[in-house]
Amino acid sequence: MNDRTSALEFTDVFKRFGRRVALDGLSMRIPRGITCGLVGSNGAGKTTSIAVATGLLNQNRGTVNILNEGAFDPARHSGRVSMMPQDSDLPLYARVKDILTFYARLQAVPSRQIATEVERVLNWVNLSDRADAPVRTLSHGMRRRIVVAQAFLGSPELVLLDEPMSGLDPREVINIRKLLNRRGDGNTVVISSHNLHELELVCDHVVFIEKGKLVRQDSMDAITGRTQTTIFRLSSCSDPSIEKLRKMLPDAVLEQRKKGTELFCQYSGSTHSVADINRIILGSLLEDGVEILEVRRGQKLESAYISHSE
Amino acid sequence: MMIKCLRDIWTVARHELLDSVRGKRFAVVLLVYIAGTMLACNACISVLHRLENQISETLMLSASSSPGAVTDALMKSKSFQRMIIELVKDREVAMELLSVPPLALIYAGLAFTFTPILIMLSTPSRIAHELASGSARFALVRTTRGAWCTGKFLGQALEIILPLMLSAVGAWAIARIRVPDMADTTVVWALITYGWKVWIYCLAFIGLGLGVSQFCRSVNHATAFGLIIWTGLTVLYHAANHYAGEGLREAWNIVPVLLPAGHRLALWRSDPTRVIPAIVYLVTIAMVYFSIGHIFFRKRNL
Repeated sequence: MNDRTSALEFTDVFKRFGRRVALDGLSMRIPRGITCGLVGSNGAGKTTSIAVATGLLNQNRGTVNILNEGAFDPARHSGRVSMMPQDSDLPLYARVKDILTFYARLQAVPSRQIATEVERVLNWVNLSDRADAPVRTLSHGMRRRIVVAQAFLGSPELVLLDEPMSGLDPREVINIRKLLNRRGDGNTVVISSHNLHELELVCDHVVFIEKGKLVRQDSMDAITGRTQTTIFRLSSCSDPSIEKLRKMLPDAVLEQRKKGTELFCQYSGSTHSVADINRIILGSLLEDGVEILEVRRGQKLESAYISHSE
Repeated sequence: MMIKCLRDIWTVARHELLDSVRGKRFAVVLLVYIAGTMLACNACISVLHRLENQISETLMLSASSSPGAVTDALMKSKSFQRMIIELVKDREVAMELLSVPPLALIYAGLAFTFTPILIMLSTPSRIAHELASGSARFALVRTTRGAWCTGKFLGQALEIILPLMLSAVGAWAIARIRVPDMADTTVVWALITYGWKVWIYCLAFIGLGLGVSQFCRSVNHATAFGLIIWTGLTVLYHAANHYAGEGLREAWNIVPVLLPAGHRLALWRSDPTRVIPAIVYLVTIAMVYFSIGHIFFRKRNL
């Protein structure tokens, strides 16, 4: 499993809190330069994994490898790894600019770049006008945005975010999504979240965890099947001619699902392009007068997660 | 690596100092402390004045119209010196104290008594509070636990300079108003000297407070735990002094060496051969108390 390109690697990690097992031999490998979603039910071990990765929790067994340089060590990884904890408050009496400057200093951002860096992350989260405000005067959502901002100070190589979207208004969710999509090349972002729709939009890799164990990890394309599956959602009174479509696409798997309201088409990317599939199927459906409600590539991450966790 | 560690310690110390000073709690405690010192100094000057008059009568000196007017005469009189020696039970210390301006003695007495209480009420919560709120996590992925805690220690040590300095200024101001003759440069120098001695004494309590804080995750638990430990150490000190004796009871003599209070008397003195070992002991005690907490903290789950 060792690879020069891994950003975070867990090998048989076991973590117990009293009698409760939080991580039960978790092994996973997150490659560098990707945005990875950590998905699992409540208590699956997502937050524990992030805390173990950053050395805040000590594992009982197993090894953690950060940026291929062994276990997390602030002396070695300072400035290269950052995190956004789930339920942590910033010091309330500190001013926003001061607290970010403090973190940037600890992260060894060069002194002359600190002011620019603080301004940059505050601009990202649209809070540059509150730079001089004490943290206690900010709303809950604003504080969350500052917490997200601090994780990106100094452009670290590995950023671990625990529920970054929770408590944010829709406009800020879109803003954070843009921020995540703009991450630098070679930088890795790991996001633990229950918001699977958001993860689907920003992640290119997904790890499913349940009961402290790895269920599946793969690229988003492979998990949702979006490079080789197209789903056509149809109205309930539709009756598409499947046999005709099967003759037109002999190499593809065509099925009607959910009481005929979904036409599922699985194909090989080497024999058919997405454009071919759309042209053939949409043409046939329109010709038959079928009411098409939605065309989607692959299944939703939510559906993939449910099918894997059952 | 070492430079980064030292830089982090200084960064955390500076932040800790600013963070402590910003809080309303600090402002309130500081004001109460300064006001308390000034009021106590004022009360002591009044008591001193009454004593002067009583002693003047006893020693057949002329009665003074203002406090401090016959203090020099009092202190130089053999009867008064015998009284002090009898009171302190240590001729050397008593003779040294007689040469110290009374205002500095009052200030140092108050500072030696109340600053540790102030520290034990505020310091144990410093790390526990950050663990409870989770804000420690933001810093601890950026620096080592050792550098963070040491920075906290340094920040607290710097913070305590402010009340010591301001209360000294307050005491001097009271003296300047009530006993103008007493508030000369000798007094200023004596206040500064005792101020830094109290600061050294306080380091042991900061070490104790932060040592306790590293064990706790709740502010209330940390404060209560700190006060219990402090009370326990005070009782232990008095028990050791009470039970120390010959034979097996000589073992009790070791106890004061391990406690801050065991070195307080030496700090009253001006003889460097007494003061320097006390300073070394107090700094070591501070480090030991702090390190006991840190041995647990550096491995604990956060």
